[in-house]
Amino acid sequence: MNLRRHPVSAGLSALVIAFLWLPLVVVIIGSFDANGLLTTFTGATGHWYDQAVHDPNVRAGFETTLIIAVCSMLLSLCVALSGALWWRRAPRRARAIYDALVYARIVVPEVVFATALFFLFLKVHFALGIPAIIVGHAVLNSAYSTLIIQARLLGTDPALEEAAADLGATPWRVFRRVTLATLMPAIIAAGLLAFTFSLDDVVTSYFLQGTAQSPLPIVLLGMIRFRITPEINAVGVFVMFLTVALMSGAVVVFAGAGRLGREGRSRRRSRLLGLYQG
Amino acid sequence: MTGTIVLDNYPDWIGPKEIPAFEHLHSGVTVKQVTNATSSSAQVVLNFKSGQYDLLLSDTSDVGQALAAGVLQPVDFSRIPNISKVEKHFREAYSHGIPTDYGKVGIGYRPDIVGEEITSWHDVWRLAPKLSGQIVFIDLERDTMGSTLKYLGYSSNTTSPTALNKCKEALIQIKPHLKAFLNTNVGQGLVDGSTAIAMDWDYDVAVNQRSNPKIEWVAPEEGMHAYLEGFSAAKSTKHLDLVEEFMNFMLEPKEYADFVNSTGTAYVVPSASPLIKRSISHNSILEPDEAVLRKVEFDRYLGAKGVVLWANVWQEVKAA
Amino acid sequence: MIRRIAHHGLALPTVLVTAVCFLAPLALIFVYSFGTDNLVTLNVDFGWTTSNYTAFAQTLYLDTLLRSVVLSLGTTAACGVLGLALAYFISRQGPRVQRLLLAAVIIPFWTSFIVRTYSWVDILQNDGPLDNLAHTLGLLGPRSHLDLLYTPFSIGLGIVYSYLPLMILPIYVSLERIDPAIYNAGADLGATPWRQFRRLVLPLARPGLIAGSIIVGVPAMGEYVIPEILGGGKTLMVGNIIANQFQETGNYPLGSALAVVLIVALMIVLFFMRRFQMSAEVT
Repeated sequence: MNLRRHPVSAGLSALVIAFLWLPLVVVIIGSFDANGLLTTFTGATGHWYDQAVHDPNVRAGFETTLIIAVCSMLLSLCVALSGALWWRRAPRRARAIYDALVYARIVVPEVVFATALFFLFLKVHFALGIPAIIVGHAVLNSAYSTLIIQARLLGTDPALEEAAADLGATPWRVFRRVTLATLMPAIIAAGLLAFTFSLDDVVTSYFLQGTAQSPLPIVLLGMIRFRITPEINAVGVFVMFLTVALMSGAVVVFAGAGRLGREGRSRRRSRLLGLYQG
Repeated sequence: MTGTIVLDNYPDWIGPKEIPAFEHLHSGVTVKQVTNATSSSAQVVLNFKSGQYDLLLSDTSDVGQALAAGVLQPVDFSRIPNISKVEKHFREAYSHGIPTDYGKVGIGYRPDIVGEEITSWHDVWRLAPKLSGQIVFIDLERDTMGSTLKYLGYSSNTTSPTALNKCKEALIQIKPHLKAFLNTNVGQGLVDGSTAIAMDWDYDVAVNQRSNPKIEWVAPEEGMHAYLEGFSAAKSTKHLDLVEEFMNFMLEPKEYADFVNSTGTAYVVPSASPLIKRSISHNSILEPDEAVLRKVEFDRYLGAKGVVLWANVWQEVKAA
Repeated sequence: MIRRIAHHGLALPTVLVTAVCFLAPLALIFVYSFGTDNLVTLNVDFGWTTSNYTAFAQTLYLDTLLRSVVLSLGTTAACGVLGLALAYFISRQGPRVQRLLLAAVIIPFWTSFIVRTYSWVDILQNDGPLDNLAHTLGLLGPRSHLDLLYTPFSIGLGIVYSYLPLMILPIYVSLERIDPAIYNAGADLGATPWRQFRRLVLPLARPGLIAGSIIVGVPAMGEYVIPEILGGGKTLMVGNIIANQFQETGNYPLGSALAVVLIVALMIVLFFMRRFQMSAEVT
């Protein structure tokens, strides 16, 4: 792209990225702070990382958080994707009801939802714990995922799929090669969002955790009850790197699995282009 | 004795050796600790009610409400002989379980910035316009409203509408001069001088004073409001015998000292003093003399009406 | 026929999850909002009183509501401008750079909310990096400060920061599908960048912009942790009032009534936005 033609967008973008990363820089500097007060920087130490990595509560909390985030992300995507696919061919009135349900999940203050679900689970003797948290997160996060997938669907031409079907593609093939392929950026964005939300959630987790191991955000909340220590910063940085590493690992594995289909994909591109122009 | 007891506690609010030592002493017994970071009475009472816990960290106000709600199990003190080691004053205030620690709300300040000596809450209100934007209060209604009521000469547990109304006015009057209501890092600004005066807990000032000796602690003339915490049993417990055994164990001077040394709190078992770090046991902030302690008032449960009155005043202060 | 049944089967996961784990608790909230609470035992007696609703007419609540609306609208607008700029920029890159930039957007958010938000306290405080920068540049006298922390500005900044990815992602998703040929065609026809933006980018970004505004604006309305941390606990928001009833006082009926009013009001707003979004589809 020609940057000179988009000086405003490029300049603003650089500023936004800097804005997003500024706190991270501060957190990283703080995590090496030797005097432990986070006021004036007097020297660097790796002590806080040592402490963070060896804190059993942090470890167990992070494991729990990761399990919850991955499971609730998958559940959110299942709900959001199937729902959105139904939605675009559903009758008008049914659509409105469906949308109302999506909006309602976004509109309800989380603390209200979490308390109500807590009372409900207690009443029906559904065991509180990690499965309850996963479901709780998915109920809310699937609504966000739905909105993102819908935003993509709204701009997608249904003629594309019809054309593919007319050309003799089986419904499954049309779904995989056309529908899913067009939705993929939205699915990735929606998944990332659901994962990130779950990774950070305090309120729903707090109410639904029962006597299970607390997820990391709740552990951290406990650690800052009196004061912010450099250890908190070290935990934040450590967790971020670990998450990045795990996610990149997952991407590599999935990309490897998908390599078989890569050839086909480029052919599909040209065929789709052909459909467009034809 | 066998079985598992579930303990509701703040994170790290116990000595690292206490639970392993207890489990070692009684084979077949497991103490499962669940940590919760929130400390509002409604949450604690909800936890008492939930049937998930046998033993809960709770302050005098939580215990009062749990007792009134019928979800607290009073313990048999004849099975907890170590209770006699707890100073009478605390034992009487926390009468249905074992008291473990308390914290006073006083004033931390920087005489070099303020330029004069502070001795009372009255001084804080008087100096506020001069030190506008350099004063910090605690973001908890029991502590800030309690201290304001002390300033006005009332009990810090009053539910009188007149007293609470005056409390509201005094807080709204000083609010424009406050830098913030904080509940984390309350006194940290004292260290670098960005805060001149902080309404703060004793242990926080004690810690910050070690980083900057210019910080002074004041036990205000009008008196202080304080919390008193301990462990109480839930009505739903099926292992009361284990709970009582554990309570007794926690008050063994050796175990109790482990708790105090790792939390740095003001303590309630004088006979544990020789085992407690000098920085705690010889700290005049944490261990004040008798005259100061006599003017300390502990949290009490305010009753249903009182809770609503207090919550409304606090909301109006926050909204002002 | 089978295809239609199979199609309706797609609605099943949503129906199951929402009916059991959402509508049921929502119904509980609705019933609670007409009930009375025993504030000692925290048991709710189901009744039929509207007193929880009439409490809402207090000026305290109305002022707080107004404050929350202003803050929510302001932060959503700021997120919209910044999000659109970055999302557009990302969508115009090659696939590899796109992925890198998306990662750059999301990765800071894996450091934990608490850590991130408290780091803004360090950045904004007097004698912090920003304040020092202003002094170095000679913008401030030696004894004066920026005083950014614990103000409505710092709350707004914290909200914009925390919610920005929620705006970037949906806008990116709706811009990404645009064929670069369209832009080139526009440029070839001599359209100025501003005209191209208004005539081409903005309409295409609309579904994403609307979705983003919903997922930023609505939760920002109920936000209460950021105002606590970055507002120094001096500003009351709707979210605080509701959270206080649920977490501090245990007055579930009053909290429920406040929540029901908020839910209904926001639902009405959202349905207007939905019509707007749908009309975007038609054009």
